[in-house]
Formats: sequence, C-alpha cells, structure tokens
Amino acid sequence: MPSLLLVEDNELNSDALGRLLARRGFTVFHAPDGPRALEMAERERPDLVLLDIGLPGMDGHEVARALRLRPGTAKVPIIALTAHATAADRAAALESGCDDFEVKPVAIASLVARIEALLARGPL
Amino acid sequence: MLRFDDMPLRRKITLGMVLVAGLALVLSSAAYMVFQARLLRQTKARRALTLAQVVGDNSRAALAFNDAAAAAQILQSMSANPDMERACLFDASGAVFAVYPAGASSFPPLEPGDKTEFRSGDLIVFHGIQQREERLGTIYLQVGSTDLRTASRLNLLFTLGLLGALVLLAIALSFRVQRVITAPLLDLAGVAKRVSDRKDYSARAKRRGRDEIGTLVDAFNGMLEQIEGRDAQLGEYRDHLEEQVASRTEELFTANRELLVAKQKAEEVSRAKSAFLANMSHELRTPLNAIILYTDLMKEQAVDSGRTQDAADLDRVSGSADHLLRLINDVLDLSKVEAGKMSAASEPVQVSAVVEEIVHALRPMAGKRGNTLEASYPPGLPPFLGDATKLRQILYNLLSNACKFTENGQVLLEVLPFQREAAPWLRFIVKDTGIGMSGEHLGRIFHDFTQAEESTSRRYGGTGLGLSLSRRLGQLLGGNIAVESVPGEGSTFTLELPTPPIPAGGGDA
Repeated sequence: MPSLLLVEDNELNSDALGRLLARRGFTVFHAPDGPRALEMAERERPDLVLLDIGLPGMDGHEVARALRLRPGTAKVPIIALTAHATAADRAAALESGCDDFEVKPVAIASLVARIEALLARGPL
Repeated sequence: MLRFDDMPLRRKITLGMVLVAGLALVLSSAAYMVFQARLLRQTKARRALTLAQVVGDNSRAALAFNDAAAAAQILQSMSANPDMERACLFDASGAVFAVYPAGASSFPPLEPGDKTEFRSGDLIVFHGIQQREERLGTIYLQVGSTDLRTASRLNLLFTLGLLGALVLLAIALSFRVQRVITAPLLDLAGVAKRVSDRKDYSARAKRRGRDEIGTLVDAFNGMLEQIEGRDAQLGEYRDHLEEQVASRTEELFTANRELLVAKQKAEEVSRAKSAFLANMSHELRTPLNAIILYTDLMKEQAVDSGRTQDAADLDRVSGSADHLLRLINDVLDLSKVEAGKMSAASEPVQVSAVVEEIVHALRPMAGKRGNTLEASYPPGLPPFLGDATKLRQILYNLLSNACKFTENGQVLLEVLPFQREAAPWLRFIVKDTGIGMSGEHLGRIFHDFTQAEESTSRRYGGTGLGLSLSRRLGQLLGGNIAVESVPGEGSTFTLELPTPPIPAGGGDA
C-alpha cells in the first residue's frame, strides 16, 4: 500500500487525519516539525508527503525546498496543507516545490482524490 | 522762477493785490501829472498875459509920446521876473521901439493880433496896445519855462514817492488781507497734512468765521469726526474679533489635540482589535480542525458498525463545526480587511467557471428549502483580470443568503456586462422571491453582526457578517454592492465590478 508522510505540528489534527487516511489503506508516518520530517522522509522514503505550511520554526515552504534538494526525496509528490487558499498562498506553495494544495480543515474525500491523482501520475 | 499756478496762495494774493493797486496808482498818478502840467502852463500863460497888459498899459504914454527911454525903463522892470528872457515893444508901424534886456535883437516877426503860445520851450506873448480904438503898438514877451520844468520834476518826484509809499502800503495791507483769507486755509491744509501723515483723526481745524472757509472747515471737521467714529468702531470690532479668534483658536487647538489623542487611541484600539481577532481566529481554528476531523472519523466508524443514530448526530456536529468555521473565517477576513492587510489578487478569472462552481455547490442547500437556483450569463464572456477567490466568496455569500431567506421560491443569479467610463464592468444580480426587507432594515444589513431582525439569526442561522464582508470585499475589488427589497416579495442584491481585460500575451493561470 502507498505510504504517506504527514507533517503536522498539532498532535490531535495529525492523529485524526492519520487515522482517516489509515482507514483508507494508507500507511501513515507522522512528523511534528521540519527537521524530523526531513529525517523521516530520508529514512522511510514515503510515496507522498502531506505538508502543513504553518509549521513552527522551519515552515512548510522551507521543508518542501529541502526535500527537493535531497536526491532521495527530490521527486516525492508533496501536497501542501494551508489554512488559506488565496492565489498568493497557492503560488507560494507551488513555487517552493509542492505539487498540489489542500485547504484546512481538510475535506477527506477531496484530499484522497488529490492523493490518488498524484500517485497515479507517478514520479516525474 | 516759480510759475504763478505753483506759487503759495499767500504770494498769489499779495502779488495780485500789489499788481492791481500799483496799476491803479500808476494810471492815476500819470493822469494827475498831465493835468497838473496843463494847469501850470495855463496859469503861467495867464500871468504872462497879465504882465503884458500891465506893461502895455504902462507903456501907452511912452508910445504916445514916442519916449523910447521911458519905454526902455518900463521894460527894464522885467528884470524882477527871473524867467523873462526877452521883451520888445513894437511901435504902431511894427518897428522895434524898446527891448529887454538892453541890446537884445532878432525878434520874431510881428504878429498882427494878440497871441499866447509856447514855442520851443518858451512862452511867446504878443499883445496889442490900444488907445481908444487906435493901436499904439505891440508888446512882445518871451518867457523861459525853467520854473515849469522844475515844477514838473518836483511833481514827478512827489508822485513817484507817493506811488512807492502806496505800493508799500498795498503790500503791507495785502499781507494783512491775505492773512485773513489764507490763515484759515493754511490752518486747514496743515491739519489735513497732519491727518494724512500721522493718521491722527483726532485733529481738528479751527474755524474763524461763518464764510465759505468756515463752512469748509466745518465740513472737514465733520468728516474727521465720522472717520474717527468709524475708526473707533472698527478698532472695537477688531479687538473683539482678535479676542474671539484667539479664544476660538485656543478652543480649536485644544479640540485638535484631544481629537489627535482620541484618534491615536482609536487607531491603537482598532489595531489591537484586528490583531486580537486575527490571533483568536487562528487559535480557534486549530481545535476546530481537530473537532471536524475526529467527527468525520467517528461518523465513518459509526456508519461501519451500523450505528445510524450516532452517524446522524455526528452529521449535526459536523454541520455545526462547519458553521463555526465559516464564522471564524468571516471574522478573520473582516479583521484583515479592516486592518488593511487584505489585498486583491490580479489573475485571469473565467466568469462562467466561477458561476457554475458556486451554483453547483449551493444547489443542494437551495433544494433543501424547496428553491430553484438558476444562473444566466451571456455566452462567450471573456476572462478578466481579477480575484476569483474573493468574487467566489462574495457570490457565495449573496446566493447562500438568498437561499436562506427564501422558501419554495426562486433564486436567480444573472450576469450582465456594461460599460462605465469606457471600461468594461460586470453586474451580478442575485434575485430571490424570499421574505424581503423593509427600508429601515436595508440601511443596516451591511453593518457587522447585523441581520434584518434580531430573531433572524435564530430562525435562519448565519453569521451576520456575510453582507458586511461581501460589501468590503466588493470595495476591495473596486466595485460596490447595492440592495433593493420589498418585504414579502423578495430582495435583489447587485454587485458591480470592474473587469479589466487581460493584456495581450499576459495571463498565466
């Protein structure tokens, strides 16, 4: 089954979303901040990363850029999760290397559809 | 030399008087001298004639007796008269009978009758000597006029002296007279100069009589009095005005200072409020996210294990959480707009796509209340440069409002292009057949947290922020929202937006 790395600082949000995804058959790894997300991505090589943009410390954009710079994770699909969906937010996410964009609070059906679309596309 | 016109009045008057008096004196003196000279000559002639008669009478005997010595003796008596130059006694035949002074000769030819005349400065007298109708001879006298010349010279001297004295007198008199006339005028002129030089309107000219100058002085003084009165009044006004201005300025100054302080305080409060709302909204969203996600999770589990009642209840939790989320989002957006932190994006917007998306999203909600939801727009609307997210937000608010306040009716979204100041605009008309609003309510619905009636939110739900936020978003996009409504018949909201075309070659999605 495809594995997902969920980068989310809020423990409850991370747990609830992880379980919703696990119910749909995904293997979910959790990372609460940027450095640990990079470490886990390197180690677990997930098929896709769900990345909260509003992380404390190293924010989502920085994490995305770092992932893109490392050979092991340079091509992993990334879906940005943000509180707002303005054109500027979307542009910033895409610019830092994310492939798609989902507004929080996440509508699970919509998120799964995006995940499946990106996984079906395969690595670039 | 001073021109007459430019001379001081004083000299003009003096000069005029002296000229007039001098001319009169000269003329009268000349006439007097001529008359006097004539009188002197006449007197002299008469005396010479009388002398001739006396000598003639005395010589009658000498002539009658042909006694030349006696005649010469008689003539010798002429020496008493210093002017007598020559005398001659002719006998009846016209021959010289006796002469004076002795030895004198070359007498003028004998004149036939009596004659008295001035001949080259001397008086010539011929007088016939008669004795009972018989002419005995003729007496001839030649009298010099040295005395006449002396008299004339004296006369002239006297007249000239008199003339000079009179002219001096005239000058002296004219000084007096001109003082009478000019003194008040000079006085007046002096006062006028003082007034104009020193702006001293308290000065007054002195009146000396009731003549025209007196009238002039009175008028001048009256004028000064009026000016002084007005000055005093103006001064009073000015002082009062200055006082007033000073006090008003002070008041304004104080008011300004207070206003500035109040404004700064208000701005501070406003900033604090915006910051607080933004923070609060963010903080509220995080736990709400968890609620929504856990509710979804529990609902899935309830459905899986066949607990339909739980699933239905969890659906209600979900709906309430969504409502709460929208409310928080509206508050966050409003605070952003108020703090000036929200800006409009500039991206290509396809109107038909936005409209279709919203109608699709809202159709279930419309259907719940038995409403039909339709959209109409002209085919082939070109994309424009704008902010699709905010347009979507506004239309979503207006349409969901319309659906909310309408039951078993129609909600219509109509899009019409129009031109304003030669620029393309779009008009989005959201029309419902719902409960409508009265005029009183129409004025308030765009205010924050205001619904048409207090009971509305209880009955229909809604945040009370939607219209307020929509109007502000509309303004942020350069447009505006207006509303018309008839209670019981429905409402029409109209959003007008500038829709600038996408520049050729530009426009990335």
